[in-house]
Amino acid sequence: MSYLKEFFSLAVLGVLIENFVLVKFYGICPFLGVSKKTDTALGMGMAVTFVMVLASLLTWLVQRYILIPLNVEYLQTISFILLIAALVQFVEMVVAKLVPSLYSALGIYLPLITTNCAVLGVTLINVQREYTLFQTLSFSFWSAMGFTLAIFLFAGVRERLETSNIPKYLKGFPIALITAGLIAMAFLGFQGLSF
Amino acid sequence: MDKSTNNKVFIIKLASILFAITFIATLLLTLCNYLTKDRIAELAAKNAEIAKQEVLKDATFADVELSEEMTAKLEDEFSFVAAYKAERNNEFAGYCINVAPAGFGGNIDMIVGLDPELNFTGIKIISMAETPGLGAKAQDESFYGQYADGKKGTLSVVKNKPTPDENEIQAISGATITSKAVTDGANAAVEIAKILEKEAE
Amino acid sequence: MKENSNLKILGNGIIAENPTFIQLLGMCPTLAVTTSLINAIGMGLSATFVLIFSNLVISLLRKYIPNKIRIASYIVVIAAFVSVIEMLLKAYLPSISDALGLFIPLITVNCIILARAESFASKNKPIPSVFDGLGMGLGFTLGLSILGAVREILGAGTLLGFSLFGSSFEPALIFILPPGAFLALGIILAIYNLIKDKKGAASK
Repeated sequence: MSYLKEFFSLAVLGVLIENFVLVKFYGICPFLGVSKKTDTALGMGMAVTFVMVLASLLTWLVQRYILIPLNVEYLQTISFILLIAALVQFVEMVVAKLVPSLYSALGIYLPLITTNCAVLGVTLINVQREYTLFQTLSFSFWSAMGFTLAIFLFAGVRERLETSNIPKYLKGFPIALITAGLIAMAFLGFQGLSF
Repeated sequence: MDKSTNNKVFIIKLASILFAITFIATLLLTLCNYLTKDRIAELAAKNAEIAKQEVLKDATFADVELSEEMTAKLEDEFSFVAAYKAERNNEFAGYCINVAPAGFGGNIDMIVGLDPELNFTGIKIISMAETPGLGAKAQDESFYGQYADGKKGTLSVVKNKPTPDENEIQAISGATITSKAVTDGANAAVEIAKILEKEAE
Repeated sequence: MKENSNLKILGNGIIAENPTFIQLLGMCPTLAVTTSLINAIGMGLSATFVLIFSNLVISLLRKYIPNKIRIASYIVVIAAFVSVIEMLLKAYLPSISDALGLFIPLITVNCIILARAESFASKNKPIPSVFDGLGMGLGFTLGLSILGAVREILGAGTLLGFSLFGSSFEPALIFILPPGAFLALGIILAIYNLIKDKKGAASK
């Protein structure tokens, strides 16, 4: 019962209150780069979710059973990023071999994920907040869902922007950023949900 | 040599180069950690000491020893970090409780001062990562000064109230989360002190 | 002649290929830590430090790193220097280290640094690589500082912590809240486009 409660409270936290993209600014590069179409945005979201949950699991184990016992927590950044890079490579190979259809859908996004700061970010937050394994997995899943929601909403707006008539100097990135600002303003309202 | 052994040699070569780079990087970090860790620890201890002095002036402090389960329980319930007993002229002068409630940009590491009757004597923030201009205003005296001098009981946060009541704290405008976090920390400190007193009996 | 080319590389990073305004790289820290000018400068200089050293080391090692493991090797080198600056900041500038928080370790995945390693340092000699790192780093710092200054002035009415307009000024808080980051950068980019376009028209 308490697990269920924790799972859902982390859902509200990860998706709405601390939305990774719109409130905390993790993963802005793919948010701006891969958000021109809703279906590619969803693909990216799914790939990120997959890698974020796996990476959180592995880094939790490394932190708990290697870094802390050996008292070498200062190697956190370097070991986590190596692990993420290796994981992304590995996932790419496995998915390509076993589920070619999934690979053709997600394949192009996978290499980009190594340098997505949402992934390294979530693993570091898990450690910083001393989450248990269950909390780690739930939080990383819901944060990734928050990322997916933000990028999907944004892509929806951008698809419309393509065809609308906007001032010349605002075309492209300026209007995209201002749109993102307006979506972020809506998410600011969710701040009231905490406490 | 056939192709597969050639391939193996190549992979071993790749792995050893990567290993060498990682190994050197680790050595560099170990050296750097060795050079900076004492200073980092010293700095943290010094800041905590200054904060304790500020909330309970001219007192000397002793760590409150706690059993492992007790520490775990307090950490779990109250974001507890450490507790100190204060003495002034060989007389019990209250507690300093170090708590770290979650703010907007991470945990707010703060010291809460309590007199022997568990009235607030003041709070001091040791470190935090709140937004400059918003949550970071918690470090201005106009905000943390509200927790000083004799406030008692459970505090609550109000917004834009012209004259806050005795145990109400005026929120920093635009930073309700930070204001609430600091107030929660202050309230938690009282609860912790109550538990400590019960333990001591 | 040679010094000239190094200066050109330097200027290239600061202006012609400015990472923030032209290449739009490293957006996460750009938006997240520019709530005040001092944080923006702190982040910019930390990234500059990492860029210079990672470019130098990668350029020195460029002949020894096989193509297949180059990305992994670059990431290790970058992560090592990021951890070094993280420890140095904690020891000597704890207030900056607190304010930047997680965004210091996240310099590791700042696309600017990996992009310069891949597109410049892996193909050029050490000295030009250092200048490239310095130029890109300063360009990044400049971008962050402009955004940081705009947000701090509009959102808090202060600059570097000093009050600018007296106590009767009501700052537009939205600019230091998360949405303000997107809005301010969007507007600055639009103004930049406008100026560039006017200049282009004038030179014709």
